Amino acid sequence: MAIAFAVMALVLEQGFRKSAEQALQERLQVQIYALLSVAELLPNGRLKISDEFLHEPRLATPGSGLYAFVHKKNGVMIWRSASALGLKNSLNTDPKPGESLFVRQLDEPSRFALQYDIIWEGDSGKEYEFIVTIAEEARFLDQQIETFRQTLYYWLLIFAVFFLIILFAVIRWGLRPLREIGNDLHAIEQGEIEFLKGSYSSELQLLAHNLNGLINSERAHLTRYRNTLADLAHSLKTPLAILRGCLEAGDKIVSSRETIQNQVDRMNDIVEYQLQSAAAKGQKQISGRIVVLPVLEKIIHSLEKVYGNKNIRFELVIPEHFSMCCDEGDFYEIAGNLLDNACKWCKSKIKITIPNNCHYNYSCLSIEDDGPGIALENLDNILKRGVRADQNIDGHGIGLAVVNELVNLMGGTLKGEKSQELGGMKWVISIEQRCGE
Amino acid sequence: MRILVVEDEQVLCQQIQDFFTQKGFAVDVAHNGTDGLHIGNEYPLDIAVIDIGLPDFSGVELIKQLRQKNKAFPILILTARTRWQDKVEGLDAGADDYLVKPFYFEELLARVNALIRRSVGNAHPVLTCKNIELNSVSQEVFVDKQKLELTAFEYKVLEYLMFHQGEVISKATLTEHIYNEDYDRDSNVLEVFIGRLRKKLDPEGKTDPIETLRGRGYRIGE
Repeated sequence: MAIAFAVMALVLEQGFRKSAEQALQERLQVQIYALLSVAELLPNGRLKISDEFLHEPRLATPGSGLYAFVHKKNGVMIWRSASALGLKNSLNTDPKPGESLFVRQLDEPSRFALQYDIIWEGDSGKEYEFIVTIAEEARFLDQQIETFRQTLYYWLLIFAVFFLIILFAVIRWGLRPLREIGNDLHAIEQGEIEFLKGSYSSELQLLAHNLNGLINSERAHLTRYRNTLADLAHSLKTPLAILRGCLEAGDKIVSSRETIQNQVDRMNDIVEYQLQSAAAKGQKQISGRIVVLPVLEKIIHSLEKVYGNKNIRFELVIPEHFSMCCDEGDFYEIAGNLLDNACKWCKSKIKITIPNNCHYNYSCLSIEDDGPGIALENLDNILKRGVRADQNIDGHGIGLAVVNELVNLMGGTLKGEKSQELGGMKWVISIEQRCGE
Repeated sequence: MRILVVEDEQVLCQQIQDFFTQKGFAVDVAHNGTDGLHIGNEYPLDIAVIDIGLPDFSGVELIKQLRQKNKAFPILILTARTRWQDKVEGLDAGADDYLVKPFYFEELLARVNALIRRSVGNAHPVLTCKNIELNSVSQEVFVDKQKLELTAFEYKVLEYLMFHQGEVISKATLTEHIYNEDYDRDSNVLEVFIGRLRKKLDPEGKTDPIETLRGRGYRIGE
C-alpha cells in the first residue's frame, strides 16, 4: 500500500508540474505577443522597443525575474529588457520561422524560456528574421511545485493513516469469526467444550463441520488405542495367571508344557489381534480414496512367492481406476488377510472381482477360491477373534476377525458365502462410496 | 545345507542356531546387517533367515543389497511386524517368504526346507535317485525300501548331492555347504565320508551311486 501511495504522489506531482509548465508557456507566449505589439522595425533593419510602452512592468524592473531578449538569426543580441541588464541568453537550437521553443535554461539564474522565431517584412519588402525570447526564473515555478508537493504529501499522509485505521478495523471485524473458531479450538484443547458449536458465518460453517469431523476421528482413534491397551492388559492377565500356576505346580511337567504352549499361543493371538486392531485407521472421514488394483497386484505378487509350491492361478478382474473409500494401510490389511486366507485354503484358483449385485451407494470387492469353503453355521464364529475353522492351518481366525472389525469401523460389511463359480469360499466386502459422510 | 541367520537378539539367535545345527545344517550367524552382508557375499549359502529389525540397517535393506550383488539363494524374513504393508515391502525387496514372531521352530524348519527344495527345482520333500529315497523333512534315507542309518555329516553330503542330482559338485563346493565358517575343516574327511556313504548305499558294489570325476568332483544320478 505504501508503494501505491508513493506512486500516486509521484503521478500527481508530475501532472501538476506539466500543467504548471504549460500555463507558464502560455503566459510567456502572451508576453511575446505583447512585446511584439510595441516593437517597431526601423529602416536599417533594427528592431526598436521602448521600455515605456512595455505592457509588463516586470520587464522594466531589474532583477524582477522576467526577462526579454531579441536576437538576430545569427545569434547577435540586438535588444534586451531593462530587467535583463547584465544577463546573457543562450539560444538552444535553430528554430524555424513561426516556431516556438520552450526550454529550461541552465544559465545563472536557471530559467524557463520561450523562444519565438519571427520574420518581419519591412516597408521595402525586405525580410528580417529575429528570435524573440521571454524567460522567467525557474524559482517561481519551482516554488509553486514545492508548495503543491508539500500540500499533497500532507493530505496523502492524513488519508493513508485514516485508510489504514479503517482497513485495520475492517480486517479485525472480518476476522472475528476466525478468532472465535480459534478460541473455541483452544477451549476444546482445555476440555471446556467437546465440539465447535458457535454460530459462525456461512463461509466458515463448512470449515467448522470438517474440523468437528477431524476432532471426532482423532478422538475415536485415541479411544480405540486406550481401549486396546486396556483390553490387551486385561486379556493377558488370565494366561499369565495360568502360567504362574504352571510354575508353582512344578512336578506336573508334561501337562505344564502343554498348558504353557496353549497359553503362549493364546497370548500371542491376543497381542496380534490387539496390535492390528489398534493400528487400524477405520474412520472413513479422513481416510481418502485408494485405487485398489496396484495394491492387489503387490499383494498377489508377494503371495505368489510365499505359496510358490501351490502354483496358484490368480484371476484379477478389476477396472484400472476402481477405488474404495479406505485408508491405504487398512486396505492392505483387508485385502492381505483375505487373499492370504484364500491362498491357504484354495486348491489352485483364486478370483478377485467386483460383484454384480453391489448396491449403488457402495463399493464392493469379492475374493473367492476353489477350496473346501466354510460351513455357513460356522461363519459367525469364524469372524470372532481366536476361533479357527481348522486347527491344522495357522492364523485363520485372527485374520478374518481383523478384516471384519476394520470393515465394520468403516461402516461397511464383510459377508461370507459359497462361491458359485469356484465352489469354495467367497468373501464380499462392501464399503460406502462416499468418503467423509 | 548351509544357512545364514541374521538376528540381533542374541538369545533368539542362539536358539535358532542350535536348532538348525541339530537338524544337520551348517549355520553361520550375524548380529547386524554389516556382518550379514559380508557373510552373504563371501560364502556360498543355501538359504538365509534374516530379521527385519537390525541395529545398523534394516533387514529389508540387507536383502536389497544381497540381491543387487546377484545373490540368488532364498531368503526368509523374520518379523515382529504383522502389518501387510511391511510384509509386502520385505517380499518386494527380494525375500521369498516371511515368518511372524513368535514362531514355531518346526514351522521355520518346514519353510526353510520348502524354500531350499524350490530353489533347486524340487517341490516334493522326498528325493529319489535309482534305488535311493531321501526324505528331507524327516531326514530319513531308504535304499531298496530299507531304512539306512547315516551319521549327521554322511546325511549332509548325501542330501546336498541328491538336491543337485546330475551336477558335478567339487570337493570345495561340498565342503563349503556342509561346514559353517568357523568349522575346522579337513579335506580328507570328505573323502572318508564319500567312501563310507558308498559302502552303506551299495554294500555289494553293484550300483555305484556316487560317481567320482577325477579332478572335478562328485556326481549322483544321471
